[in-house]
Parts: sequence; structure tokens; C-alpha cells
Amino acid sequence: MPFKVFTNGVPLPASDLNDYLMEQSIATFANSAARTAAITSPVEGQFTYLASTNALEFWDGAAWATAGGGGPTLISTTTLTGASVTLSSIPQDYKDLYFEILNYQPASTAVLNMRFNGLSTGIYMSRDYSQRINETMIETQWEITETGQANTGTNFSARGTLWDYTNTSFRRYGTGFWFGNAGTSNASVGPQAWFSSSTAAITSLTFFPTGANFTAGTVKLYGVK
Amino acid sequence: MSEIKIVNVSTGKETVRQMNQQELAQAELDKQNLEAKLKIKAEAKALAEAKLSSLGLTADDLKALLG
Repeated sequence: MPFKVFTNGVPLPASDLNDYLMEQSIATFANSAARTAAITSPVEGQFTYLASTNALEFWDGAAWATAGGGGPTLISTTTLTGASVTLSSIPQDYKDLYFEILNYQPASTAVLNMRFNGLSTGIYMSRDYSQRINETMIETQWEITETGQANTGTNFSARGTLWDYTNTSFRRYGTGFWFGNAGTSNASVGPQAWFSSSTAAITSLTFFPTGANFTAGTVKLYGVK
Repeated sequence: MSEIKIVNVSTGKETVRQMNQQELAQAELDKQNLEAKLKIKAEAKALAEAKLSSLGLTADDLKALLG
């Protein structure tokens, strides 16, 4: 669609408004469903902004694509309190989920865990230092920090990515690492790999220390396209 | 320790409430499972250390071997 320069005194028909002004501006929608309902035949090069994901996107002729860099988009920042924190209604518009746990401190020695979609049956497997071969999945949550770490008085942080979290053709999996220190001289660090037999798209994540409450910490959730 | 927080990240709405019976039972089960796991891990470690000791080795010797 060619770009038109309007001049004073020339009549402005509705067709010019529709063809040039509307399709050359950035329309804002609450989410992708609202956009699909409003724009039934997008034009290549057309831009939109989605409030639900804070995403500026353009129609590339076949699909809506992210404009500019594909860096992570912050979805939520939540203080860790109580026995568990659940992040629900996670948008399904991204490819991967990335989370950060910052300055986690439990009330007593406890492992920091994660479940998705409220599932608490034996469908999880975590590995914190070496591979696991052909083992039965019996764990009821993913471990973020390692079992047996003396957590009391230790400041922990962790990072993790849950790959392809909406793709129901694959089972859920992720990778990450954790680190903690109880002072200036001692520290712990370890990798984590997570796997689940479930193929369900992740719509919620629950973080909880086993048998203890959070006393401090923050969880940040990002979407990555 | 029975308060939980649920955040709808799409709307930002935050709900803080007490655990229901099912959630309380799950939390207790999680705690028991962890205690059992820690016990198994501690027993396995003690057994391994005893075996090493019988060979005249320590855990530090093993770490040195494994790099």
C-alpha cells in the first residue's frame, strides 16, 4: 500500500482514511484474540500492539511477527510469601518461559520446588548433577535447588527456562541453575534439568519450599518469542 | 504455614488465602517425601563413606580422582 501525503483543501474521502490512515497507524488490542476478531485480512507491513504481552508486531504476509529484537518480555514480578506462590493464566503467546528467583530464603531447611498446572502426581524428573538413564518418573515436583542443601540462613537465587511450553506435541522440559551463599566465604552452585511426562501446555507455575514458608524473595516470569 | 498466594499474571489480580484440606494434605505429603528422600540420601552417603574408609580412602580422595 503506497504512502499518501495529504494536502490542504483536497477532499478527504472515507476510502482514503481507511486505505492510508488506518492501515498505516498502529492499532492497539487487548490480546491476540481481539486482534484476530478485528483484523480479518491483515495487510503485509501492518503493525499492531498487544496490551496483554506488551508486544509490537507486524504482519509479514503469513503471520504476526515480533517487531525488533526477540528479547524476553516481563510478564510478572511477584514477592515470595507464605507456603506457595502460583502464577496463573500465563499467556500462551510466547515460545519459551524464563523465570528468575531472586534472594529466596525459606523459614527452615527446605528444597525450593516448582509444579505446573497444579499437577502433583509422579510425572516429574529433575537432575541436578548427572544424567539419568531410563528411570521411572516418580517425583511429584521439579526441584529448583538441590535436596539436602542447608538452606536456613542462606540466600538463594535461580534461573530457568521452560522450553516450548505451549507445544502439546512435546513433553514439558526445562533447564536452569541455582546458586546460594550463607556468607562471604561459602557458596553453592548447581545445574538443573527438568522433564515431565505431561504434554499439557503450561498455564500456571507454582513455586513452594517443601515443609516451610517463604520469608523473602521475588520471582520474575518472562515470555520469550 | 498454610497461607498461599495466587497471582493471575494476565490481570494482575492477587489472591491470598488459607490452604484448603486437599492442599494441606499435599503439603504434608511433600514434607514426608522430602524427609524420606533425605534419609535415603544420608544412609547412602554413610554407607559409601564406610566402604571408602575400609579401602583407606576418604571422600576428598574420591573428589580428587573425579576432578
